[in-house]
Amino acid sequence: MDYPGNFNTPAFPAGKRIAVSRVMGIGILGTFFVITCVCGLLLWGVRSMRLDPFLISIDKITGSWTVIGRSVTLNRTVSITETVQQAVVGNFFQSWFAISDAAAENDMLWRQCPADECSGAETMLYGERRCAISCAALDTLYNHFVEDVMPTYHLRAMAGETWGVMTDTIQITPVGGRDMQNGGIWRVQASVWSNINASFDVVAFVRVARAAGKYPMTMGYYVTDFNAYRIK
Amino acid sequence: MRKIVTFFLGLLILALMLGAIAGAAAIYDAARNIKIETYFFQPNNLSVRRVGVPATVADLGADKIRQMLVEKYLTEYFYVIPDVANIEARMQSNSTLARMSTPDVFRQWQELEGELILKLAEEGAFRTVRLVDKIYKPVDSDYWTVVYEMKTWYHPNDMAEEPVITRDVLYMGLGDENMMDFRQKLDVAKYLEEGQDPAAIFRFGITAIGRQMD
Repeated sequence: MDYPGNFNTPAFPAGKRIAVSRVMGIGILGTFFVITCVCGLLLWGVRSMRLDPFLISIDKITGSWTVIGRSVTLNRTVSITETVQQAVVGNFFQSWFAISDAAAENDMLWRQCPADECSGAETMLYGERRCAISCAALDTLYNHFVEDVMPTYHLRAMAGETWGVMTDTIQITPVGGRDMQNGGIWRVQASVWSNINASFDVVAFVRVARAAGKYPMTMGYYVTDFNAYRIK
Repeated sequence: MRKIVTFFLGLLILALMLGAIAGAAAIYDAARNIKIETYFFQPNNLSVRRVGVPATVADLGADKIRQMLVEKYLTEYFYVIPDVANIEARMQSNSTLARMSTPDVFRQWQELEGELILKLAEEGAFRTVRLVDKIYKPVDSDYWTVVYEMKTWYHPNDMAEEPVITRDVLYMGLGDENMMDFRQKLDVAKYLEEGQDPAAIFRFGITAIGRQMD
């Protein structure tokens, strides 16, 4: 030793290499531990598989096969326009199958109102059924109602029969096309009660169209065709 | 020399690490490619009538699937709703009926039944179809015997009308050897997500159809 001329003399010459080896060894061990953990995580992730099945429903009446429960991919989230159409269809269906024991109520429901009155404050009050059929229907459909349906309803009313739709049985489903923005055909299925005859099930096909600005309360939706059948 | 050995050792460890990562990735890929049977049948889409549990194609078995496909075919063949566009769509060459028929059978339907049900739809009629009993194939026959029942309402909005009920027998030749499989070269998920008819994904077809001559 050249003391005090040279102070830079290592106490243990192999110390640096040993330290580097230790660091490398610990680093490699650590890395392998991390890799093992990642592999475990991967296996865990793989085991927790997500099922996304196609669920097929078969309609008992029409026999059609439909994919259900894929709301995102099949665009079956109910949009505002579809909701409004369902409301139009449901209300129209209830109005069509309503026979009251009060003649005045029937007359009010079945009579025709001028177009401006249909959107008037008095007619559009909540729960108000005045002109409910004529205000929501195309003229030709209303004429069909007056000529072919109303006479039989009058006869039933005169015989003391009353009708009403069991609202908790109403099912409204779109038929065919997926794009219902401008209307389409809806199928309505419901039970109608009668105070004289037994209640009966009805299936109806309701065609809805849109005339923007003409029916402001329903975003323009109105009924152009209505075909109902007593299925049992 | 020792430094070179250490360097190559480090390189080897690095390669091992990369190999381990690639291996893990391969396991992950393989896991993602696992095929899951995701095609279920639900008896009805109304919650009050959900009496069973969803069943896969394999659960239902060949006999049931054949029965269901034949019933579906019959429905497409005869049903009527008061919508002319619906009938016109069914008469197109890409319709469910066309996909489930040979060209001859489909042409036969267009000429015999298609025009008839189009007329019924124009007049506002409604018709439902159902199988009366299980379909069967007599031992000495190549054709399946299919007994069906149709209910037809001819007058809309007439609540006093009783449907006209007709029963008849059809003899069907079925291409059903591989019907439990899905059609080849068809992306089933994409096809279903487009809203197409689920019945047309099976390798199933009607090869002949006829009635008993009086």
